[in-house]
Amino acid sequence: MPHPLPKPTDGELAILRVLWDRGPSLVREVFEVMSGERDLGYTTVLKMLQIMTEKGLVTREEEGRGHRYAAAATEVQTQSHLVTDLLEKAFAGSALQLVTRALQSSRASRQEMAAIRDLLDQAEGKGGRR
Amino acid sequence: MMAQHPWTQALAWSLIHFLWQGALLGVVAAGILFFLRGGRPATRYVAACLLLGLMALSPVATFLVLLPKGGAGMAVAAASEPGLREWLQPWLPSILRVWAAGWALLGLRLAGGLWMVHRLKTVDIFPCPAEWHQVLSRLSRQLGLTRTVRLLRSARVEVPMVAGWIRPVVLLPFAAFTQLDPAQLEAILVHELAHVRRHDFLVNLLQACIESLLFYHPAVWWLSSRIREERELCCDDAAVGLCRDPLGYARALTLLEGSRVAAPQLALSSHGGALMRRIQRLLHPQLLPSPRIRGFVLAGLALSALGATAYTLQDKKAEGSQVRKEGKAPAQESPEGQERLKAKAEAARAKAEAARGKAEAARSEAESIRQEVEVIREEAEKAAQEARRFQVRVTEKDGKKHVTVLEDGKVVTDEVVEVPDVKFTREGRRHRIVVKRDGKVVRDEVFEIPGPQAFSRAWVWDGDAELPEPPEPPVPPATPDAPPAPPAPPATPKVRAYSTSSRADVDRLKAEVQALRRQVEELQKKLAK
Repeated sequence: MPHPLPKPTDGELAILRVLWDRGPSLVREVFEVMSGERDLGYTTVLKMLQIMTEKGLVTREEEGRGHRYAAAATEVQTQSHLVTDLLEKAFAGSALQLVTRALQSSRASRQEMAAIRDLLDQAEGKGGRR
Repeated sequence: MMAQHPWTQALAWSLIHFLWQGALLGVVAAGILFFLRGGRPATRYVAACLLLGLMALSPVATFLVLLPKGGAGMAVAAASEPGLREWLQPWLPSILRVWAAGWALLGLRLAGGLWMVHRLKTVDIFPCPAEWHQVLSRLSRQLGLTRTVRLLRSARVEVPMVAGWIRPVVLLPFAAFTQLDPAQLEAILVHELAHVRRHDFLVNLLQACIESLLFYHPAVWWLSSRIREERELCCDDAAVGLCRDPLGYARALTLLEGSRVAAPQLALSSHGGALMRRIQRLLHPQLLPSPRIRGFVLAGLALSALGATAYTLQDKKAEGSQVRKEGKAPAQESPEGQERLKAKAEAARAKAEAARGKAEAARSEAESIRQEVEVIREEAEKAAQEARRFQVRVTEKDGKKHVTVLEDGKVVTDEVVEVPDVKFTREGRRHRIVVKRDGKVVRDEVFEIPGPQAFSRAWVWDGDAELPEPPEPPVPPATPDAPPAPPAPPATPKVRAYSTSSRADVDRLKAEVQALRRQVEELQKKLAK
């Protein structure tokens, strides 16, 4: 199965929204739009766009001295992806309750894990097999 | 108004009654599980499942019991005692609404969970190394599974799990292949396959449905979680039973737990220690009983159950005594409302009386019919007995027939039936009849069947038939001088055979006979001279 698109964080979502509105744009253009909403520096925006390119959320083309960034997926795609993700999170608990698992959802704390490991080492040290 | 409808009332009351029924069943379940604590988890699992089923059925039963009584019953109950029931009555619609909302939400969550399970089976999945498929099919065969189970690696799951009932899929995290050695992974697979064999997915689903319907009662959640715990223990036993290495299996569980995202300290839920208990049980099965019941939970359930049952019983007793004291009208409350309720109660009682009267009449009628049937049966018996006493026998003695009638084996009548003895003999044309009775000849007659000459003259036949001899002419006396005796008339001429068919022949014959007669006359005349 192909790798799904990574889920954008909040800041990345803001940048993506700008890109969806304006289409492929330069860093400066994105910065201009976003400096009105948030208190971001130009370098911050640049860094974020670079990280997003690595993640695959945006694509870039060389243009002159800079790059023109474009969103990799459309707004609809990303939104449905987010909604699905949200639903999965919402129902994950219920789903995990429905399947039969080797271990239950309640996780053992660190102390418990330590105690269990001690038990096992003891049992093994005694020659282990029943 | 929703409250007036009889079945909504019955539904609301069933839900309310389940509060004490569930508590009672919870206490019973706790007791049974405590009693079975030294035994196998499989027994506890079955007991817990049965009790959960009972819990699910008890509101249904209550609903069916309450439904026929309908609104009238509730009104009577409310009128009898100004207590909890009357106080609850106006809240019934809200209770139903809240329950419906909760049930809808949980049902939605259940549906979403099933959808999520489907996504787990289809999204972010990767195949497993080929040899593990063979291991899986070998283990399936050893466990006696008939369904094909798929094996998949999933990027989304943290622990190995089995999803699906009709087409189950074992989902393994990537960590399973990196952290566990083959023997341990096999043990885990056996655990999962044991879940498949026991149809645990289906049972779990049913549990989830019951939980979403009866979500408001803690006993339901408690028993449900106990069932899940026991289920894991059962499958642990299955895994160890097949792999014979409890230590390796315990270590596998520990490694898997360790590979999960590190748990924050606060995540220690009420199930805290479940893994510890399982490990302990694997390592020292003889020491550890089943998970303990929280003492205060048990006490709370017991108290609530006792209180609720006591209240219900006391309520019923008060109701009964109130019905008896119907003559003294209670002077409190609004007289109008009381009057209306009393009128309704009177009407109900009158109907009950009428119904009882009809039942009585029907019963007495049935009695008389039964008595009649008895009498008829007795008479038939008697007649049969009578018939059996009489016997009729027919015997033959000395050529005579005896008819004997016996009663109770004793001869009553003995008649001789006379059958006349008739004998026919035939001698030629003579027929002889001899009739004998009692050996005495009663009749002895001979009949001669007349021959041909008795018939008409025109009868001519051929052949050898005899003809009568015509009378002989008288012989003339011998005289000395008499002319010599005329020659004797010629002998009777034999009649020649003529056929009867020809009329001409008959005429010719007639003519000849005439001629002969004339000759005879002439001769007679001559002789007379």
